[in-house]
Amino acid sequence: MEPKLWMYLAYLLFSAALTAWVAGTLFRNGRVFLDDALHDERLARSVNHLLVVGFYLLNLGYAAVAIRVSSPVTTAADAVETLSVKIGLVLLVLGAVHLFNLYVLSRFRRRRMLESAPPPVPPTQRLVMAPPLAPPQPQPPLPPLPQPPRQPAPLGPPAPPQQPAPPGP
Amino acid sequence: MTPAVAGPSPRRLTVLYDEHCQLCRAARRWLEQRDQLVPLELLPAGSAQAYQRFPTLDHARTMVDVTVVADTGDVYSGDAAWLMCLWALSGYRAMALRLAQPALRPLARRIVATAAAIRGSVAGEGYVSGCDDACRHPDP
Repeated sequence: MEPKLWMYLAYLLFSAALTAWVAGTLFRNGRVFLDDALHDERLARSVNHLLVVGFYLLNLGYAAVAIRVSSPVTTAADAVETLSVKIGLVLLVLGAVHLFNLYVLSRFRRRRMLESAPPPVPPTQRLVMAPPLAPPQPQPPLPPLPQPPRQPAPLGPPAPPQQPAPPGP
Repeated sequence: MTPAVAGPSPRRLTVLYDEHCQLCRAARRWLEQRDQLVPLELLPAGSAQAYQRFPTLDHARTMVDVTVVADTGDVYSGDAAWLMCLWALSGYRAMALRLAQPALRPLARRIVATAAAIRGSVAGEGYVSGCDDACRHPDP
């Protein structure tokens, strides 16, 4: 196998392995960061996954595009030298993308923290009594009205009206 | 970024501004047009509504300095009131926190003092600077 071909193969292998390693680190550690920044576990998991996919595409795309070496590679020393330059470039691109990723995530987090930041200055004074400021107290529910005792319903037919007693003799 | 105040964060702020001063009215319009993280309610200082809402507040003082009253009962005046207004706005909270730091607070004070000087100079005739109850214009 000529030196240029094995150099290309080594380059592809190295680039893919490096990208996978950095993406794995990003996936594991970025999760904690995103959980804190977004305060939503499902959303954090989704954003993390999307970021890692983007990371893979960007880095593998760059490695694939930058594979070509126009100068002739005839000796093994030439091959190692060129391979080193190529891998170095891939590392620099990986580093730049990684730092950019961190910057975006930290902006996310800072915005989130700003939203919950307390007032920047202590109050000049405090109102002693402020009735209109007090939140309205919920009214307790009214007690149920007392019900009159219910008469039991008559079971049989209504009793005939009593006849007045006959007058005595 | 260190929390300046412990306790509950205000959820509503009332800004008492001088409605007879051109600069204050411009500031009011500016505040109303910005996105707010904490709702701002703008009331003319010394108005009947202000007296009704905050009966225990020193209203003569609110005519001199812009005053912010939080729903927690906290009162901020002067540069603290301006910082609270910035803190309540969506895009200006980071600026408020930065200006409130000890290194930049004197700058904030100077800006507010300059604004107050401009307010005094652009006020129309009959406007009494640093006045108490006499600030209100006679009705035409």
